[in-house]
Formats: sequence, structure tokens, C-alpha cells
Amino acid sequence: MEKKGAITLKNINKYYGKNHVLKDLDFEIRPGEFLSLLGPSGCGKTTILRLIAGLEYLDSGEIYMDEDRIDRLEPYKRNLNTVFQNYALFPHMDVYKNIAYGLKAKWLGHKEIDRRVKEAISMVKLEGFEKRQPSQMSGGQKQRVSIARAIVNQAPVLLLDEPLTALDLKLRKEMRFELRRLQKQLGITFIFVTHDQEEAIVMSDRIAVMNGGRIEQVGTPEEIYSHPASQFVAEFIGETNVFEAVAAVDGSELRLRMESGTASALNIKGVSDNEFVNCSVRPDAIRLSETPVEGFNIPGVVSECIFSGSFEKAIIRLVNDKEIKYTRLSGSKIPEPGTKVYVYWDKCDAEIMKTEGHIVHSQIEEVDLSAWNN
Amino acid sequence: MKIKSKYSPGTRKFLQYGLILPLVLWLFMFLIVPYVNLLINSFWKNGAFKVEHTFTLENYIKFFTSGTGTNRPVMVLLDTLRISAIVMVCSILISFPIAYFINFKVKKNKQLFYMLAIIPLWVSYIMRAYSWRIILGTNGILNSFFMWTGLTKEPIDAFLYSDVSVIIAMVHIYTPFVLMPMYTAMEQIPRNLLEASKDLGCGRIRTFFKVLLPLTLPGVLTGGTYALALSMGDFLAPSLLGGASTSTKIANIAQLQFGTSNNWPYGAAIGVIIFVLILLIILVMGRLEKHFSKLEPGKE
Repeated sequence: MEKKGAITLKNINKYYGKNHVLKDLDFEIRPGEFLSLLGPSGCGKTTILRLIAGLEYLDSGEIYMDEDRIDRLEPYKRNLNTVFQNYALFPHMDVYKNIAYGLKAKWLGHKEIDRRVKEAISMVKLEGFEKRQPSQMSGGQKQRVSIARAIVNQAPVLLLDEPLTALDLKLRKEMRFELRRLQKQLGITFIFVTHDQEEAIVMSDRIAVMNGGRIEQVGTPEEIYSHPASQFVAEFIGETNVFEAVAAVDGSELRLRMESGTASALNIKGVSDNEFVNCSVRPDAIRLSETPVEGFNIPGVVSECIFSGSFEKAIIRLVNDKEIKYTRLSGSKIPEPGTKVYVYWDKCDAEIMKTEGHIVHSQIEEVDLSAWNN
Repeated sequence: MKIKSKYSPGTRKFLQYGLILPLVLWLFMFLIVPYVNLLINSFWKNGAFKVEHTFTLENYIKFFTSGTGTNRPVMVLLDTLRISAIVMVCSILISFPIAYFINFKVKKNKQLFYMLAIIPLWVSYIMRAYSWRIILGTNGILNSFFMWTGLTKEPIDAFLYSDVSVIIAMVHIYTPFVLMPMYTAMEQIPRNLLEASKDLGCGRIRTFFKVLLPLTLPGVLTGGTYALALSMGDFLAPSLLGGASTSTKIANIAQLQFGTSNNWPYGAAIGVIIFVLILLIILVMGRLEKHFSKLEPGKE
């Protein structure tokens, strides 16, 4: 039988006491993909993982693995394995016994167990550590053991609960690639929980961005980075500048009226006249000019320049005292602090998001920029 | 780099040794001196009216050779060991489910349940021992209950003044000592180890024997040692609840030598023998515990 490993969540609701932690969650994880659940702490991402693993029970909804409903099954009857955040290695067993634990539970033969344990050990590059106790190992080594212990069972789905957070930065970065390599090699579904957006972007086939018990957006890292579906996603994935604006349609383009001036963007999402929108522009997409550019009139003053390794950052203060971020590769010319500049961007770099409108939007009026333009 | 102390070398020396002095004195006065005294006394000769200070081994020889049948002190010692072992096993069997229940089944007020379980410690020993006389006696609660239900027509004497009543009382008295280390050991097991076990395909029972039990074992051994050592030296429960001759325990014989029999050197010799035996037990248990706790969690 070919193993698949699709997970389908239907109408999931979960409460902790009166706390509604997952709200009508509905989404699908494709077989063989590397999916990251990304979100700030407390957004419910670990809860999803624990629900799939069977370590928590649903309040309502259904979970399917391929065609089988699994949400009522005990954890030990589900054909999936978990890599726990703090490794959760059995301290009274050595590395070999830890890894063999799941196989012994399946009553496999001695030779089969031995073969598979050795295979798993070589996959995570821990040859020679078989007789070590977990207490004699470093964090990175323990993490490898816990990964080996999970993959040795050859389940079609692997759940990973922030497995890299306890490691130091350098090791974390190495492990990212190793996990990715392992996933490709095994061809099984990885569901990876993290709050580190960089980690998610580097490793995943798809990312599900979560906030407050809901999924804000599911998509490839590129989609999520370049076309965030909401302001939350835009701000959570990488840095961004958000402009609140009132839109006016002009052919295939939008003219944006903002507190800090006027700007333009492409009208891809079918925004109509006088609709409230948020316009998100990444710091690396911001352009500066000494004279106003056609379609734009956003004057500002460079207030600060920060050198940060391979990047140079600048903060630009706009007329409404809002500060926006601007980054360039080091070496390119960045204006001195105090320089008067005009902000603009390539029309296709601006991401327009429809919004219900906040107080800011209703207060946007035609700004008098005459004092600035002189 | 040397850190300059604000104290002069003399003061530092005083602080180093001076502050530990009260503790050393305390241990010396109330632990070392009595034990050495006991040891020395066990080698004196018991004279007609007073202890003669001449070296002899006859107290020890007497212990191993005197008496006949079950009355031989050696046999009493072994019998005491047997009773203590039963007490230990029973205490462990009672404590384990309690510790498990409080740790894993109680969601709220864990501390309260724990306190309730060890509250007997705050009741005086004599009270606890005597209360069993009220329960087990001929006109006691247990017999009254049986007669009320019609299960028996006559009160059963066997409850009281037998090894059974001694064991029941000692189990009751020493169970909290077993429960405490066991509870602590269980409490320190990271919950995600149990989750990991289930995740890897092990059901409740396998998880219990493969993960929970091995990791609780150091606590079980510590508690077991308490129960064994304490009940070995207990002479009150046997004399209050035990039968006339059958339930005489080694501690009773020792106590007798300092009272009615007035043979202090012999009593001291018995004391030394009990002391050495318990020391051996603690050593063995300590070894075992070390073996298992080498594998204990929480070292990460």
C-alpha cells in the first residue's frame, strides 16, 4: 500500500476552559508536503499539532488522515509521529533503545528492528552514539535522536513542535537544511510548528500563517511574502510599511489618498471608488527621489540611518509624523539624515488589502502639501 | 584574577570553619557520641549489680546462641525483618496508586490532596497506634460492624494482638514516608515523556511499565528504605498491638534490656546488631537507587 499522509481538518473548534483557542479551522495538508504552521505564541499552532497527534481532544470538528477519520483514535493508534519541543527522550534508555522504542511497540522482529534503527541513526548522522545516554549529549544531538526516534517508524506524517527553538542560532540554521533534506529523502508529510518566520520561509513548501486561533493565509513562502492576504500577515512575515488609504479607481490603477500624501498602485483585487484599503510596501521596495515622481506625492525627511551588516536601513519621517522603513544593500547610496526626499514605489510592489476601515481611514483628508513642495 | 575579600585572612578562616562548627558539634553530641557509647557499652560485662568495665564478647555470643526455637534472638531478628519487609511492600503498594492518582488524575488542588494523604504524620504516634486498638479490638468497630451485618456471630479476636494488627498499624504509620519520595519522583517525570510513549505506539499499560515505573523506581526505593528501617526499630506498635509472645520484635528485646532485664551491655549489643543490619540495607538500597537514578530525568 502506498502511504500518502494527507491531513484534513474540518471545522475544528477547541476551548481551554472559556478560552476559544481554535475557531472554525478548516484546511488541508497535502501528502508529502512540508507545511509550516507559523504564528505568534498563543495563536493555537501547537494546539493544532497536539490535536492531530491525539494529545488533546477536539470540542467540535473532524480530522481525517487520507480517508480515515482519526480524531477519536487514541494517540498510539494514529499512524503518525511527533518530534517534541524539548526532545522528550527517555532518560533511562540509551540512544539505541530510544530509537527502537516505537518499533518494539509494534512487536517487530529483532533483525528488522536492528536494521531500521541503524538506518535511522545513519540518516541523522549519529553513528557511534548508540550506547550514549541522553544526559551525555548536547542539545543538537538530542534533537537528532528525537527525530530518528520519530522517523524510524516510517509513518507517512511527521509532526514537529518547534524542534529548533532550543538550539543555538548556528546549529538552528544547519538543522533547517537537514530537516528539509530529510523530508525530501523520506517523501513524507512534515507539519512543522514555528514562530520563526525565517525558518518557515526557508524550509516550507507551504506556510499557514495563524493569528488568534484562525488561519490568516495559506500559501507558498513567495505568495505569502509578496502577496500577504492581510495586514497581520504582511507585518508578521518580514518587515513592511503599511499605509492606510482611501482608493480612487483610475483605469487599471488606483490613486491612493493618504494622510501622508498621494500614491498609486495596481488595482488587482477589484477595489472600487472610495473604498478603504491598506497598502503594504516592503522596506526594500521603497524608492526615494529628490523630486516628486508621477503618480506619487509623499514627501519626507530622512531621520536616521542604520548600518546592519549586509544591509543599510533608513527611517523616513512623513508629514503625518509616521515613520517608514527603507532598506538597501550596503554600498548603494543612502541619503544623509536630514535630507528632504520623495517616497515612491514600483506600482506592482504595493500590496493592496481591502479593510473594513478604522478611524484612521475615515479621517483621511486631502493633505495640503504646498508647504513641503516648496 | 583574584577577588579581594573585604575580610582579613583570619576572619575568612573563622567564617569558613566557624559557621559550620555548631552543626559539627550538634552531630557530634547527639549522633556520634551516643553511637560510640552504644558500641563501647556492648563490649562491657554485665555484673551482678552494675556494669563491669572489662572487655568481653559474651553479649554478642549470647545473641547468636541463647534461647531455643523461635525465641532465639536471631530468629526474632529474622522474624522482625520479615514483618518489616511485609510492611514495606504493603506501604509501597498503597502509596503507588495514591501518588499516581494525585499526580495524574487530580487536575485542581493537587497540593490539598497531597496534604490529605500525608496528614497522618501530624498525629501523634501513640494516638495512631491506639486508634487501631479501638478499630480492631474485641468490641471494636470492625467486629461490631461484622456482627451487625451478620457475617459473624462471635467477635473475632484474631484482629488484635497478632502480627496482622502490628503490620496494619505500621503500614498505616509508615505509608506517608513512602508516599512522599514516590510522589516527588513521579512529579518530576516530564509529562511529554508519557506523551512521547503514546505517540510512538504504546498504550497505557506499556507506557506504565516502560516509562512511568522505571522513572519512579528511585522514589519507590527511597520510600521502601524508610519503611523498612523505621519498622525494624519500632517497639511501640508490637508492644501495644502485638500478641503476648508471638509478636515480640527485636526492638522489644533490646528495650527490655534497658528496663526490666537491666542488662545494658546486652541491650547495647542488640542495638549495634540492628544498627549494622539497617546500615547494610540502606547501603544496598542506596546502590540500587543510584543505579536507577543515573537514568533519572531532569538532568537536561
